[in-house]
Parts: sequence; structure tokens; C-alpha cells
Amino acid sequence: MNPRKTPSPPRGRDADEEVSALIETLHQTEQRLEQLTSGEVDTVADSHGRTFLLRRAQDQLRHSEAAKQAAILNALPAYIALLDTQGRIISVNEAWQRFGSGNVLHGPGYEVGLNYLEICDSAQGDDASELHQVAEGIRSVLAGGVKSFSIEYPCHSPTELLWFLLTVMPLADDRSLGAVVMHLNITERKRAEETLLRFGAAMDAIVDAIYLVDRSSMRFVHINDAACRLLNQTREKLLALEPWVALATSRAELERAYDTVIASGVAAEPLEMLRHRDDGSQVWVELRRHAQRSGDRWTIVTLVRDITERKRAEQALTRLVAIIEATPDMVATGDPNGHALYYNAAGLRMLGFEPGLDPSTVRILDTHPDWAAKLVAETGIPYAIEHGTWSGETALLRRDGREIPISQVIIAHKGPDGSVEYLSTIARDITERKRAEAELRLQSAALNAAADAIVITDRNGMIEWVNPAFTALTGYRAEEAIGKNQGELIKSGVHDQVFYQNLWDTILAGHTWQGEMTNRRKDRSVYIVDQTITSVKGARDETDHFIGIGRDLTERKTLEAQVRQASKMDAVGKLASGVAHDFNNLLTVILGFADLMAADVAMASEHETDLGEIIKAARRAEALTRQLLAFSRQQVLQTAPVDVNGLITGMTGMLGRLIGENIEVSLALAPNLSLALADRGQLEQVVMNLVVNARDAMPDGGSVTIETADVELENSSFHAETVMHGRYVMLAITDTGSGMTKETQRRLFEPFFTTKEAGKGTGLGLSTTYGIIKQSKGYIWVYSEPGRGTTFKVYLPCSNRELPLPAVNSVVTAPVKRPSETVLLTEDEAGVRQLAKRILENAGYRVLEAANGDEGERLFAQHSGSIDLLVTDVIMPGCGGPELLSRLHVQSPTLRVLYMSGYTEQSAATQTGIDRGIPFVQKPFTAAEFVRQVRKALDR
Amino acid sequence: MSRRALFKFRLYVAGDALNSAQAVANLTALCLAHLPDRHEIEVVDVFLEPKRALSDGILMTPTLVKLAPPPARRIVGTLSQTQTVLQALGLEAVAT
Repeated sequence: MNPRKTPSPPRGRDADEEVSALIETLHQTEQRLEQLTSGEVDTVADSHGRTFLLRRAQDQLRHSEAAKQAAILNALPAYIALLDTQGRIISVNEAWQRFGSGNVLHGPGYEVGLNYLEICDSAQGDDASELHQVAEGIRSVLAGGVKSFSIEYPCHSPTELLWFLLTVMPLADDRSLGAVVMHLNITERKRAEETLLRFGAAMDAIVDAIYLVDRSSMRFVHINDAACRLLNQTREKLLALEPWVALATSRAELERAYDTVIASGVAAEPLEMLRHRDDGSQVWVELRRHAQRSGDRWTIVTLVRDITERKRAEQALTRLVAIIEATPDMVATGDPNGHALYYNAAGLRMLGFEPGLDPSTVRILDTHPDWAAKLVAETGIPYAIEHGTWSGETALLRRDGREIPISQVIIAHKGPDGSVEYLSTIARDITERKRAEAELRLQSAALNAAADAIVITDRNGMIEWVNPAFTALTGYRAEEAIGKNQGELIKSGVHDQVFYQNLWDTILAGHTWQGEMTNRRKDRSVYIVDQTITSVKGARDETDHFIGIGRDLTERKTLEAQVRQASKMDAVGKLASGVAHDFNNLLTVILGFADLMAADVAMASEHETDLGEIIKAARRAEALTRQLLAFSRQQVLQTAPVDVNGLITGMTGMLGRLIGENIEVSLALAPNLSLALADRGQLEQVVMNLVVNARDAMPDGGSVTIETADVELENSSFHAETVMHGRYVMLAITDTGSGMTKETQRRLFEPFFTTKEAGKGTGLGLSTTYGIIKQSKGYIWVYSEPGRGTTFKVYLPCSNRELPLPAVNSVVTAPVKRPSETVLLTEDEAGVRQLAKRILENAGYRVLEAANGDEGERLFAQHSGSIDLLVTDVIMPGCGGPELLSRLHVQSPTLRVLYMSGYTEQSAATQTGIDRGIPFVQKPFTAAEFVRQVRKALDR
Repeated sequence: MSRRALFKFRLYVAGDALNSAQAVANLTALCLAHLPDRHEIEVVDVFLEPKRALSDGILMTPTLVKLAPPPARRIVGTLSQTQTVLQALGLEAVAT
């Protein structure tokens, strides 16, 4: 008891004496109570319920409490010291006492009585900073600032690293009682923690997701980072979840799976499964579980590997294989030694192999025909090895021997060291394409070979393609035409807008337009085509192209004109020959009687001059008639080998006189010129006509060149004429005159066409020339331009015969014998009949005359047997000469005949059907000629 | 005295004080030896329930009160004199 806390402090000696007396009483009271109770009582109480603990019992209780505390403290493994409020060590437990060298708190007396704060404050070395913290902590606790303070600190011993946990707590709630300092060795815990930390770090470093589940509690024991990522949750959240929830299964399911693993005792086969993540994505995982035993507890370790990539790769591979097996192209691989490794289904099919074939039994080169095997072995594979791939067109050889054309790619697959590991190929059957290509090639060739101009345009008329015939026709090369608008390129301006509108309306409606069209060439000349334009429909059934086919009508038009011209010439010829025929009859009479009169000496002397003029005029008329006949090609030509050079040389004198002094004639004659086959007289006429023509073209003088040469002409068509191949003698006559327009050239050889002023030309000169040349199977062409002169070129066929020797002019005059024969003369033309009668009678023949066939037949019947010769006109009204002869032959088959005609023998033969070789005399004839022919006929 | 009679005791003690602790130990041992399965002991700590001791007229601890069977008896002390205690409780005859 603290006396200062009594409410009324005693004062003075009396008080002290009273206190002393009371203590004595207390002592004696207690002694007496002990005696009375034999010391077996702890407390006594008065009637008011005040209980008094006896002093001995108090001592016993205090000792007992202290002993208990000491026992507890000593039983603890920690190092415990009690501090007073100043930090002095009041007591330490046995562990503290045992702890020695490892702790700073060592020394005799176990530091009891020392100030722990001072020890900590004065610490130096590695642990100083921690001990300073400890001191601060203790001060805080002693000051009541904190309820407790603890710190973990390492404690180095020479042999091992130890860890301690220091805890400071107030000795009681009342801080004035001091504090308890406790050091606990936590080295083991620290080690365990570190082990666990390392284990966790190791687990987190593993890419596979790993989680450990304790089978008994069915709780997660550990989850690594990968597992968190896989399950898309934080570790804290997962550890709080029940495993079956986190793994999206049921507890029963999971327990069954774990028990199976425990029961099997070996690592189970990995399971593959598709897992859906929270974010909706899917992952393929492979699950491996094994059971770990620790005591009687099982821990299930589950490894989950994300095999999504592998699965994708597997699926991609599966798809690739499916594609390769399904493709209609052959896909194959082979080793570098030339043996097959693999054929896809199409490959087996193309080669005719069975589906189950072992590819290693096939040599790659055996699957190609020889030529293709050579190409693949010598070019394809070496090229692929060098450059990676090779592609080309080769062929496969089926087992049945059939060859399949293919388009092939060869790929060399190399290893990291650059050596070829294997080869692969992809091959496509191009049979159809080859066929189509061949067809296209032929079609293209056909288009290119077509004589018609073919143009392909797009929908708007833009040219996309033209064939060579188009180029030939228009003069535009393909590259000039392509890309241009067809209409703008060749439009001639001949047709109006309506024409083109109609054309476009037709083809845009999908119909074919056909019609004549005049277009313009590159050189601005126009041409006419028979044009067909057809629309071509594309894939969507819409017109996307037009095909224009143009047939050149220019040549046809020209031919038509030529035919018209030829018909005209023919008609003129017929007219001319008819006129000439009648003319010849008249001339025959005129000349015949003039001759008779001239023969009459008495008459002649009186009218000699007059008669001579009549005969000269008649002769000129005869020449004119011959020209007409020559033009109509009905004149008899006496063709023979002719030396053209000689002929021209012989004519030079005459020609010089003909053309006058202001024109120079020069000759350019080829030496050793071949002989031409022609009528010499007619050829002279031709030369003369052409030279006269040249003269007339040069009224102011100039020069004429006559040129000859041997030439060879090919089969061709020139100037719309068909030229026969062969050797020809060319005769060219060139002047330096006024030249001719195209129009003049075109009409040049028309009869009666002349550019000369009236009276100066007959218009028959060149047409006669033309007739003579044509009849001689030659050609005459003209080259001329206005103001630049003219060249006529005459081509005459070469003779293969030698020049005949000049005939010996030996006129054998037969002894004059008075004939006694009777002649039946049938002639419808009275003048000719009278002339012939007079000539024959003068010559001594008896003449019976008839004006027509019927009369002739009657006369023959009357004088049956006495008539020796029938002299008859070929063409007569009613019964003609040949018919008359056939009637008379009925009565007298041996009757001889002499035909007369104004037509040529040839022409007459054609018209009446008389036999060639029958004696024939052409009108007009001279008396002597007529008598000679009659004699010849009779002497047959 | 029926052998089957239930003995009810009430022991007044003063906390963990030595005599009181000895009394609890001695009573427990005596009951286990002589009154197995037929005793009840109630311990009353006068420090905790001072008013009860007052109302029961208890002046000292430890004090044992035999509540049943009658007659009620009081014994003060550590109960270490077993024979004396047995006699006091009327159990001597049974013991011999």
C-alpha cells in the first residue's frame, strides 16, 4: 500500500504509533489464524463479505505465478527478454541464455540489467541499420505509440545465413510495465518461402500452363502464369475459385479424372480438347496429368499446352492434302534419283495407274514419251535445280501408250545445305487447249488468208484487229488501223448521215448489215466494197464486238466495165465485118470488071488513065476493108517466123518519109533477137500505125524510139488480161509527145475513137493494131501520162522455127489448055455473079448460073452429069452453099466445090459448118486468083 | 445409508491459492476413490463470487460443504487427512 494515496494522511507521533500498533495487531492476527487453521486456509471473510487473503497464501500465489511465467517463457523456442520502461533487460528466458555467439546479445549474465536500447543504438556493422530500427520500434512501443513492432532481419553466422523475426510488445496493456522483446528464428520459414518463390518463378517460366490441385481439399495449390493466361484470369481470382469452376467442368467429373490418374499410376495419355475462352476465342489444348504423392495426400499436376498453332498447322496440312487430292491437275513428287515419291489422285488417273500404286516403283522419266523425257531430263530438271522452278509444255505417257500433252511446272526443293532433297511437279492436261489452239491457229490463218478485208471493232467501232487483206485494200497497216475508229478512218464522204444511221441501227439491234459501201484508202482514192457487218455477243449476251467483212468490188466493177467494153468491141467488130463483107462483094465487082476492061486493049487505050484511077481507088477501098476485117480479127493472117529487127530496119526509110523532118527516129534493137511468130505484112502495118500515132502526138517535133528485146512473161494477170507464160519478142515505140489521160488510155483501142481533129484519123488505126496483136496471140500495153510521152509495148510470141529460106520465085506456068469443064455458079449477089461468070467464060469454062440454092439445085438436076464443079457463095438467103452441096451430093457424091465468101475462111467455117480444107476463095478476088482457085478445085 | 446415494459437494476456494488448489485436488481424488459415479462437485471461487460465500456463511477457504445426502456437513482445510474427511462425511463404514 502506498501511504501517500490514503485519503487522510496520518500526522505526528501518535499516528506513527497507531500504525505500528495496527501492523503488530495484523501480524498477530495472521499468526493466530494460521495456528487455528493449521495453515490450511487461504482466505478468511468477515460477516460483511470482506475477504482477506492471508500473507502466506499471497506469497505462495506470487511465486506460483512467477514460476508459471518462467515455464511458459522457457518453453517457447523464441529468444525472449523483458524490458522495463527504460529499456533495461529485466529477465531473459532460457533460450536467450542458451543463444550465444550468433547474437549480438551475448555475454556473461545474459545482459540482464543492461539497457537493450543502448545496445541496439550502439550497434555497428552489417546489422546496424536493422538494430537501429529495432531500437526505434521498442521506443515506440514503450511510448505507447504502437501496440507492437516487428521486423525480419538476417543474422550472419560464419556457417549459415539465419533469419530472425523480432517482435516487440508491451508487457501489459499498461505501458508503464515495460515491454517484451522476442527474437524468433525464422530461417526455415524463409528457406521454404524462397524455395516456393524459386519454384513459382520456374513454373512461370514454363510456356505450358501448369496448375496443381490438392486432391483432398480439391483446391488449387499453385497456378503458373501460363495457366492464368490460358484461363484468362488473374492468379488471385483463380486461386479463390474452385478448380472445377475455373476449368468449366463439374466437381464429380474432375474428381473422377483425378482418381483415374491416381489409380493408373502412370502419366496418362495426353488429351486434346477445344477450349472456349472468356473473350469468345477458341484454343486447342493438350492436357497431361500426373499424380504426386506426399504422405497420404495426392497432388494432381496438370500441364496444359496450347496446341492451337499445331492444330492449325495440322488442319492447314489436312486441307492442303485434300485440295491436292481433289485438284484435276497432277501433283507429284520424286527423289533426286528419279523415282516417284507421291502422285495425287489426278496424277494416278492421268497416268492410268491404280489408286493403290506404290510410287517408288515408278521411274519419273518412264511416265513421259521419249521426246518429253529428254526435255524434262536435259532442260526442265537442271533448270529447276539452278533457278528453283521450270515450266514448259511436255507430255505424259499413259500406261496404255496414249500421249497426253501437259503444261508442267517442275520445282526443286533444296535442303539447308543447298542439295536437292526432292523434286515436285504440277501438270495440267492441255489436250483441249492444244486442240483449241490448233483450231484457233487455223481460223486465224484462214482470216489472214481471206481475200476479203476483215475488221474487228469494239462496240464503238474502235478497230481491234484487221487482216492482211484489209491492209492490201486500204493501204493502212494493222498498227495504223488498230485503235482508230473504223468509220473515221475509211469514211469516204460518199454516203450521207442517214446511210450510216441505218447501218448502226441495224447492227446495234443485233442484226447483220449488208450493202455496198464506198470507202477511202490511205492514199485518198476510193474503193467500193460489198460490206457485211455482224455483231458479236459476249459472255453477258451483249454486243461487244462487230466483225466487218468487205469484199472489194473495184475489180469486179472494172471487170464489168471491161466486159461491157469487150461486148461493145465485139458488136462493133461484127458490124465492121458485116460491112466489110458487103463492101468486098462490091469491090470484087468493081475490080473484076475494071480488070476485064483493062484486059480489053481497045478499051484500055482509050480509057487507060481513068481505069487506072478506078482500080487505085478500089485497091484503097480494099485495104480499108482489110483493116476492118483485121480489127474484127476475121482477116486471114499468114503467120510465119519474122525477124523483127530486120523488119524495122527495112521500114526506116519509109518511116522517115512518113513522120517528117522535125521528128528524130532512133533505134535500140537487141542483137540476136529471137524470131517472132507473126504476119509480116500485118506487123508492118502495126509498126506504121504506132509510129504515125507517135508522130501525131508530137506536132511540134520530138523523138521516137523503136526498141526491141527478148523478154519472158510469167503467167499473170496484167491490165485485166491473162498473160500466158512464155518467151516473147518485145517491140516498144516511145514518143516524147503530149501523153494521154487515163480516160484516153482506157478507150484507146476502141474503133472509131480518136483524139485527132475530124478528117485526120479514121479511129481504126490503133483498134486494128490491137486486133492484129491479139490475133497473133500477143499483147499490147500502153504506158503514158499527160505531158510525159507515151510508150506502146508490143509482145509477140517467139517462134520456135527457123527463118524460112527465101522462096525461089519459080512460077510454073502450066501449058495453056482450053478447059472444057462445066461450072455451076451459085451467087445471090448479081454483080459478083456476073463478074464470076465473065471471068470463067473468058477462061473457057461453060457456066450455069443460079441466084440462089434452090435454083442451083434445079439447074443441077436439069444438067445432070455434065456439071464438074460447084462454085457457090457460102451464105445466101434460103439455101446456103454448104446445104446446096449436101443436096447435090445426094445425086452426085463426087461433085467438087469451091466456096466463095466475103468472110474469112475461118469465120465462114464457124458460121456455116463447112469443112476446113475445102477449096475457098475470099472476096474480093482478082480474075487470076479466081481462075487459079477454080483450077485447083477441079484438079483435086 | 444406501450405497447408491448421490453425494453433492460444494467447495469454496480462493483462486489458485495453494491450500484451495490442494483441497480441489484432494476432494477429486477422494471422490474418484470412494464415490465413483455418484458424486457432484461444485467449486465456488470467493474472489469471483464473494456474495455467494457471504450468503452461505463461509468464513474461510477452502471450505467443503456436503449438500447431500443429509446431514449437511462443513469441512475447512486442504482435506489432506483422508480418514478424518471420510469420517466427517459419514463414509468410514463404507470404506472399511
